[in-house]
Amino acid sequence: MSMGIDDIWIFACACLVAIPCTILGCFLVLRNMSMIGDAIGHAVLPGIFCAYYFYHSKATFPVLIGASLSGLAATFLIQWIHKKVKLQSDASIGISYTLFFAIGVILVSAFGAQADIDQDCILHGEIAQIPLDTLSLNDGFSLGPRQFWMLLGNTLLVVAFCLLGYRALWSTSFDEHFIKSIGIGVLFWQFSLMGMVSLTSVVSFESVGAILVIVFLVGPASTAYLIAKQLNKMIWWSILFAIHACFWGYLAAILFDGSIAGSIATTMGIQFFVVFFFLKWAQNSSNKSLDLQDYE
Amino acid sequence: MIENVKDPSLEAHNLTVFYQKRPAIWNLDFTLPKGKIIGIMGPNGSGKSTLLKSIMGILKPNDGWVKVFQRKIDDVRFKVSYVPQRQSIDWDFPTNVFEVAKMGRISSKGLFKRFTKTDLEIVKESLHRVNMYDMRNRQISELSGGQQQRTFLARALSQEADLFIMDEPFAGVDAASEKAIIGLLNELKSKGKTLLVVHHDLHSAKNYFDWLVLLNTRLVGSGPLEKLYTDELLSETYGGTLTSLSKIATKIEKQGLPIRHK
Amino acid sequence: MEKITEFFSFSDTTILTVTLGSILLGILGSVVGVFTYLRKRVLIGDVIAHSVLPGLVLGFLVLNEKSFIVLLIGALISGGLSSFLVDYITHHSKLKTDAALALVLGVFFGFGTFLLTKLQGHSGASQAGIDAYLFGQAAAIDLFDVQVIGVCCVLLLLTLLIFFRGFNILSFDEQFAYSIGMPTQWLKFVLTSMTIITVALGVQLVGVVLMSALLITPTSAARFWTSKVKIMLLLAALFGAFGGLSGALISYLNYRMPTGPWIVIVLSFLAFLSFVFAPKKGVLFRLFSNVFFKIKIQKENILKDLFLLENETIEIEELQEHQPSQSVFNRWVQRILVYEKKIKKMENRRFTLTALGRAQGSKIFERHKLWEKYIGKYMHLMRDHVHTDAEGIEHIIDEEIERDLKSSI
Repeated sequence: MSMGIDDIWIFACACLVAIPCTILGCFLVLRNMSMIGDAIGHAVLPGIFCAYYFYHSKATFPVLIGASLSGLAATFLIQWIHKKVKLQSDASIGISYTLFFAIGVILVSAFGAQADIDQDCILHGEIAQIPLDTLSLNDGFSLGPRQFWMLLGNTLLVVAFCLLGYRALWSTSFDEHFIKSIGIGVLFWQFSLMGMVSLTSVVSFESVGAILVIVFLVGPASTAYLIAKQLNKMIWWSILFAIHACFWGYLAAILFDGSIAGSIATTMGIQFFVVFFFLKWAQNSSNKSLDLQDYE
Repeated sequence: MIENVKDPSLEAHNLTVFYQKRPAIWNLDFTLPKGKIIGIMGPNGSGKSTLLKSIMGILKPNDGWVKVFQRKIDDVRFKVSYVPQRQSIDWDFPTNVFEVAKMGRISSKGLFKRFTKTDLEIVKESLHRVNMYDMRNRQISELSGGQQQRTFLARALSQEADLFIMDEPFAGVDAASEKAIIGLLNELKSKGKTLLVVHHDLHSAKNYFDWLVLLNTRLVGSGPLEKLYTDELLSETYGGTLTSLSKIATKIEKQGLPIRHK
Repeated sequence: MEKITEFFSFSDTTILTVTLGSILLGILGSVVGVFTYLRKRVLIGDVIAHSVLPGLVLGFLVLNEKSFIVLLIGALISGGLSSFLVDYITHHSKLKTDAALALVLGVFFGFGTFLLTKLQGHSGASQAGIDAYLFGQAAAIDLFDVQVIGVCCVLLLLTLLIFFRGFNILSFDEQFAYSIGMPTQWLKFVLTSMTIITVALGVQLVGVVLMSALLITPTSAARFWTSKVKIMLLLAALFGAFGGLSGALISYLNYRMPTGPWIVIVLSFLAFLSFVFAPKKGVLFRLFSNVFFKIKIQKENILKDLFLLENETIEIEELQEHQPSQSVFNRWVQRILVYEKKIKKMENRRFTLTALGRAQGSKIFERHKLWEKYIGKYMHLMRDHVHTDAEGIEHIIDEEIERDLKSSI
C-alpha cells in the first residue's frame, strides 16, 4: 500500500467536507433540527441535477447558490406544511424530502446520461475521482483539484458565518423566547443556518453524495455533544472527531477497497459508539465506587 | 374588583390573545402600579404565561394592546427584562452559568458589538447578587432547580431593567432558593423596580405580593393584595371556567374571532 | 393510448405480477403507516428504511445469490437493530431523539454503501439485483416475490385486525393504555416489527431512501379526510393502492422511468390535493369558512343597525360610523340580504327591513343585551367596555348558549 499525492488530496477534501458540516451540525443537534438537516441533504438533489444539466458540472458560485435554493425550498415547504396545513412536524419532514428526492431520482434516471450524473454519485459521491479534475493556470501550472478549492471556499464561508453569527446562533439555540423578548428576530438566523446547510450539502455532493451528508453533519457533532461542557469546546471537539474519522475511514477504505464516503461514515458511527459506551462504562464504575463508599 | 392607577407601569386594554384559535386571554383591561411586586395568579391554563408573552410581544395580540411605561413595548425593551419558565429551555445545553448570565448583556450590546469590561463587571455583580458567583463555571446541567432559576435571575439582573417579568420563578425551587429569590425581589422593589411575577401557590402569595392580578382567561380582579385576597374572588378565580364561557370559546375556536365594529 | 389498454389487459404475466406487487405493497405500507403516524413516530420508519441496506447487502454477500428470503432476513435484522439503537441511545444519553434518528439512519446507510462497493468489486453481474433496492425497481419483482408479499400482506393485515383495538388505544394515549393493564411494551414491539417487515418488503418497490414516503404520505393524506381510524385505514390503503398502480403504469409506459419515485410523486400529489381541498381540515375550506363567517357577521350587523334605526335607539351619525356602506364588501352583503328578502331597497340608496329581517335583527339585539347583562353580572368589567365586547360575542351566541345565558341570569 503506497500513499501518493492523490491520497493527500482526497484526505484533504474529505476533511474539508467534514469540517464545515460538523460546525453547522453542532447547531443542528442543539436546535433539535437534525432531521431537517437530513431532509435538506436529500432535497438538494433536483437543484444539483439542474446545475449539472445546464452547466455541465462546471460549478461556479452562482450555480451553487441556485442549487442550494432547492434545499432551502424544502425547508420552506416543511414549514408551510407544518404551520399552514397543520400536519405534525415529523410527517411534514418526511413528505417534503421524499418528494424532492423522488423528483431528483426521476430526473437523474431519465436525463442523467446527458448530465454526467448517475445513481452511484447520489449514493456516495465520487471523492476518489477528485484528483482527476484539476485546475491549472494558463501556463500549465497545476493548482490541484478543482473540487478542493471549492470545498476550501465553502469551509471558509461557513467558518466566517459561524464566527460572525456565533452569539446569535448560540443564544437563539439556547433560549429562543428570551432572545425574542429583547427584540431580536430568530427566524432570520434559523433560515440563514438552513441556507448554509443547504449550500454545504450542495458543495459536498460531488464528494459524498446526497444521503451521507447527514452523517458528516450530525455524527461528530453528536459525539462531541456527549462530552463537551461548552459550546465552543463542543465545536472544537467535533472538528477533531471529524478529522480523526476521516483519517481512519479513508485508511479503511484503501485497506478494504470500498467506498470512501461510506467508510468514513461508518467510522464516524463507530467513533460515536466507542465514546458513548466508554462514557456509560465510566459512569457505571464511578457510580459503583460511590456505592462502595456509601456501604463503608 | 378592578382598581386602576395613575402613571401605570403597565396598561392593558381589551387585550385578547388566542392560542391555537382558542381564546387564552380574553378582553383584559387593567393598569398596574410602579415599584410593587405584582403577582399574577390563576389556575392552570388560565392564560398567565400567554399574558406575559403578549406583554413582551412574543405573541401578537388578536385584539387590543399593551403599553409598558406608557409606550409600545418595542420602544422600551431595554427597560424590561423577561424571565421565561425554567422548563422552557433544554438544560443539557453545553454552556455554563457565566455564559447564560452574560446573555443579558445582549439586550444592550446587540448581536455583534464586543462585550466590554463594564459589561463583564455587571454580569459578575449580578451573579454575586444571586449568590451564584462561585458556581460561575459550572455547567448548567449540573445545577439544581433553584440554582437554575437563580442563573436566570442573574441574566435578568444584568439587563439592568426597570420592569421584571417573571414566569413561575418559584416553581420546582428548594426552600433556600425561594427565600433568596424573594429577598432579591424585595431588594429590587426597594430600588423602585417593578416586578411582575406569575405564581400559583395561594398560601405564599399572601406574603410575597403587594398587588394581585387574578386571571381565569378573563380578568377576575386587579388591585392591592388586601382587597383582592378574599375568599369570594379567589374561589371565583379557581372555581373553574363558567360553562357558557367555555362553550363560546369552543365556538370561537371553530369559527374564528368576530370582527369588531370600530 | 395503445400501451395503456395493453397494460390494463394484463396479458403479460410480468405486468400482472409487477402491478399486483406494487398495489399490495402500497396498501401494506399505508396501513402500517397509519399507526406510526398516530403514534407520532413517523421518522423511525424512515430510519428503518435507510438502515435495511447493510442487511440486504450482507445477506447477499453471505449467500452470493439474490434470494428474496435471505435478503428479507438480512433487512429484518439490520432494521430491528437500528430501531433498537435509536431507543437505546436516547434512553442512555442526553442526545435527543432527533439527533439519534439522524445519526443511526446515516451511519447504517453509510455502512451499506461501503458494503455495496465491495459487492461491485466481487461480482459485477449480480449487482444489478441489489441496485433495485436503492431506488426501487418494480420490474425486478417476480412471481415468487409477489407470493411472499401476498402471504406477508395477509398475515400482517390479520395481525392488525386482531390487535386493532390495542393499537388504537396505544396510539391514542399510551399512558392510559398502560394504566388499564394493556401490554403496551409488547404491542409496541408488534407494531415496530410490522413496520420493519413492511419496510423490508417494500424497499424492492420504492427503494430504501423513498420507502418512508410509502408509510407517511398516504396516511397524512387520509388524515385530512377523516378523524376515524377505521376510515383512515381504508382511505390510506386506497391511496397506497392507487399510487402503486400509477407507478407501475408509468414505468411501463416509459422504460426509463423508475417505478418507486413515480409512486412517491403520485402519492405526494394526492397528499397535496388533500391538504388543499379536503373538507374541514383543508386549506381552502378553512379560507372559505373565514370568508363565510365574515359575511355572516356583516349581515347581522346590517340587520341589527337597521333594527336599531327603526326603534330610533341609535343616532344616524353613529350608524354611518358603523357602516362604511361605500365598501364593495358591504354592498355585496346588502345584495345578498336583498336576495334573501330580509331587507328592501328604498329610494335614495337606503334600506328598510322586511318582517323576516326585523325578526332576525331584534334577535341579534336581544343577544347583545343578554351578553351585556351576563358579563355585567359575572365579569368585572367596566361599563364602557361591556359594549365593545358584546359587539363581537353577539355573533357567536347560538340557541344553546342563549338558553344557558338566560338561565344563569
